[in-house]
Amino acid sequence: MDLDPVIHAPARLRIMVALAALPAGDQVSFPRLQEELGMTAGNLSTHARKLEDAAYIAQEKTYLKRTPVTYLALTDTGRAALTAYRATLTQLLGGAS
Amino acid sequence: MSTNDFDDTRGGDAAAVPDPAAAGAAAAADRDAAAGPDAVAEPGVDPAFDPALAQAILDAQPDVTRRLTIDGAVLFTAWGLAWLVGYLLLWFTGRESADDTAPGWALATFFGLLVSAGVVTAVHIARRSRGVRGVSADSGLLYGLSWTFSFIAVSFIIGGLAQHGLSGPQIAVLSNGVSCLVVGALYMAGAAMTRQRTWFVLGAWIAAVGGFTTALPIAQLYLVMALAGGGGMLAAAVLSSVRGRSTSRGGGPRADGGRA
Repeated sequence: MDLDPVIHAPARLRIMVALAALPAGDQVSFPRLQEELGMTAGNLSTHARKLEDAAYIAQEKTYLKRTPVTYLALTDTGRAALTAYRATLTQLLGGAS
Repeated sequence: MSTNDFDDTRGGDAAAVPDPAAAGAAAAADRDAAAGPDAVAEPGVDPAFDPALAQAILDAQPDVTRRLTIDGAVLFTAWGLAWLVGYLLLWFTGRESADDTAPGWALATFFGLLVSAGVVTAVHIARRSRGVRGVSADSGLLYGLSWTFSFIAVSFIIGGLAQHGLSGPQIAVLSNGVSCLVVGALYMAGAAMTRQRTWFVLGAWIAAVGGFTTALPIAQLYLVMALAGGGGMLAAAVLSSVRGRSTSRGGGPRADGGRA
């Protein structure tokens, strides 16, 4: 009963939780997510990359009025992984107490 | 592994794509690395991460969801208050006139209240949906435009009928009924889109109240509109706030993304 190491880090868990707030099919821009999480751009970018490598989130680079913007979203795999993580954590904490 | 990740972020993307987010990321990451223990340049597993702290982050899901999604309770409260106060004013000031219609200043105040509720709605939606795009954001935009165009049509219908010689009291009754019909129908359509039962019940209620009050004397119409219409919206605000909180606590990221 191990916690998913990809999610089990404060910054990455917070990214996952924030992206899970969006309905499936929606994406949030990098600056807005950064603002919501209060993370530095470097921090967010590094952890987002790690989550993207695991296919938990998808990053899409696009242009908004000729300005490049990155949009992030949870993938189905990521949503399932977060649900599993939540269940494992509940079991873990339930068993410990 | 971690060093590679870090270097990828800096050298890879930032160089290939002129993305300010990525470029800023590299610069900020540099600062982080220099900043000390607070910097999370190590993106690997964190063995020191307390599961209880992880639980606390998961428990904060409703707060995060609230900041990123549109809250029906806020909108219902704004419109409920505008209706309650506005219609009470029309009722109170209209009672003294021969045909129950309210004086010009009361009507102007009533429209002012409606405009204020509209501004609250627009600001709330703009703030919450800033930087969000996709399926539900597109639906939301079209839904918002439906309200705008429907009420432009309502104003033309009322204005047109006034030109055909409809009297003041008739205009008052008709504009109220037609507005309620549009509000009710759009709330019900919104419920169909978002699958929120509170919206549907409120829409059906507003349409029914609008239909029913048409047969009443104008003074009574205004009073019923204030209490049943405005009150109904405030009740929906409470209901949707309570429901949103309880479903968000149910745990797990929901399939609907947490819109309650």
